[in-house]
Amino acid sequence: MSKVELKNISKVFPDGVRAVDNVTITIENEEFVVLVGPSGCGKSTTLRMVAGLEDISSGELLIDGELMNYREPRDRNIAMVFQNYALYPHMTVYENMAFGLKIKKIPMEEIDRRVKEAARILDIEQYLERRPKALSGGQRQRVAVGRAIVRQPKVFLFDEPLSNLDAKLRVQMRAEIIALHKRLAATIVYVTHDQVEAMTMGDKIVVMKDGLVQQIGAPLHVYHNPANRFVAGFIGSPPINFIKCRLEDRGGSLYAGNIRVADGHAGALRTAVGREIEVGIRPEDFTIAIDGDSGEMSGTVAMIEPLGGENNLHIDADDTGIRFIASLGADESGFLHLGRKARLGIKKNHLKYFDAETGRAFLTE
Amino acid sequence: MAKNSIDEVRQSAALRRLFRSFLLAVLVYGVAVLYFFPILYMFLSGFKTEAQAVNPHIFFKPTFSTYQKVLGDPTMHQYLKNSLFQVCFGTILCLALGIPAAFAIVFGRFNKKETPGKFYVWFITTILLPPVAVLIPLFTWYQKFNLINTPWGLLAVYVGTHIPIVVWMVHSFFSDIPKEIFEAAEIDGCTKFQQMLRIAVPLARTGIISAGLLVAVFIWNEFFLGFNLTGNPTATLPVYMARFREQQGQFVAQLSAASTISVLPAVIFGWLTQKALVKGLVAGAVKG
Repeated sequence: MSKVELKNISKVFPDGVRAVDNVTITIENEEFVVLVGPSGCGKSTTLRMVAGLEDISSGELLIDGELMNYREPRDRNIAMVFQNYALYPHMTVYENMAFGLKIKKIPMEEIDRRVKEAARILDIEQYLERRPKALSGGQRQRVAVGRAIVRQPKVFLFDEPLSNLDAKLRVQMRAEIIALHKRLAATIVYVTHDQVEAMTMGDKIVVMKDGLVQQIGAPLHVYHNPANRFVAGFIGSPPINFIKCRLEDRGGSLYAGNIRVADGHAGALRTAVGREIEVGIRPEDFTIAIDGDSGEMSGTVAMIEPLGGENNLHIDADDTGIRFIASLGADESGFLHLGRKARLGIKKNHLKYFDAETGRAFLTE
Repeated sequence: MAKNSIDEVRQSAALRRLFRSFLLAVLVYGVAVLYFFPILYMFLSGFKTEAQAVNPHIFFKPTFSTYQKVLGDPTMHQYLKNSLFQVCFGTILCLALGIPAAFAIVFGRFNKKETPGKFYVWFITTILLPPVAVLIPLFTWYQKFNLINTPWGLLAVYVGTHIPIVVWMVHSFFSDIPKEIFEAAEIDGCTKFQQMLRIAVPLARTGIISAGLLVAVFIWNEFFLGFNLTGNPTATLPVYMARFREQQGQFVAQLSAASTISVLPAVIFGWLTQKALVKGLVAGAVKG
């Protein structure tokens, strides 16, 4: 069992910067939690506080119910994988992995067994006698992961471990870390600025901004039910489209600009009638309008990104002039050439509505 | 015809280049000989008899008797031993104290951000301080505590005056090590001391070796403090050399032989380790 609890944790640096503000996260045993957010959002600082590399200004950190605030990193039974690998350059791969165990005075046979086991899992057996300098980026990151595995820690901490790898290797390592998580049944806290990594890897994601937690939830739940405008904009690629408009009641039906609000959403939005709101439309929530009736948006195709199976169309809206992105199937949108008029429908049940002032979502589940 | 002229041009260019490098070589060797000549002359004079040494000749019939005489002198042995004592213990102590100091300055936790920088500056300025400035207070205090003319007294001064060199050189090497490596070690279970011993020291090996060499050579050559703080039984080789000149100044050959013996270790040491030394010094100069 290894459960990590962050209770109202804050970090204030000596210069007064509040890097992490009142963060509360519960990481269950064997859970893979991803902290995600733009750079400077406090995600790495949060991780470093869990590791013990930064002091906690206020709040409590518990691992398996034990208060960890004042424990040294070495007494927290955690392992960490760094962005720049942080391997010991003067030691071989074997020595790198064995180092922590030697310090702990674990018997040599046991060290040997664990190192070889980890090397086998990570497929780095043939490099054990090499120095880190003689390894590629991907191999180095494997060694760094291996160094964490052999420790058999309660919690694994990953600090942007894939950022230094090229795109192809990143996808591969992503899959390997996911597989590793299943295999080791480990509790993992993983920091990244890459929302794709967050979506694909995490059991649970924690979206952060300016030191504050914006939303915690399963990746798809966060994707479909963003708590605020920031989360909606940050999660998803291509990004969600926002349309600023006034919410109006026209003869009992609610309208956001020209878009009729779905009946299922009307109840939650009724209090906001007359206010400025922002409507969020995911690119894939557009459809090709078959007849005049279902056409909600029209505009001119300004740019096309063909991805094979689908096209990302950048369209300048006729009424507002705002450019929005629609992801449509390549076959059905094949006729929409550059400069042509496009008339699109919207899957209204999927729309998100945000308070234009506070950014808060009106629809929450 | 055209081909010929190209060849001619090429030839004359090559000739000019050759001539230029020849001139340059003459100049460089000339300067080298100019600098090296006194040492060479000293070295050679040790192979002369006293009668030969009086006249400045380069060509002579060499004899080993002068070197034999100087090397056979028991007082010389005593001073040689004193010097070796100072160099060995001085270097070891300087490294043992200077490395942790440099480590603390680079990686230690201080209450204020500017504190380590201040410490560092104080170490560096001490290098610039002329020994004369501290001699009088040092002498008075040493007299009071009966440390004049004791090997340990001199050793303490040498350690104190040479630690800043170690701190200066090792500091720049430590600064080059990424911080994350120590954080990884910390998580791996290392105490600060283990981080220094098992991570920082092996990684800064070149710098530490060159700092050690430099300190060893400096202590070996140090004259001023040794001359003022020690007397007959405890003085080091440079002091012995000076006394030798005072007392037996007329024996040029013996003086030359003794001088050669006293500079030889520094020269050999420096020659063997010049690569590491230069690497260490340059690293300090460029990155520090």
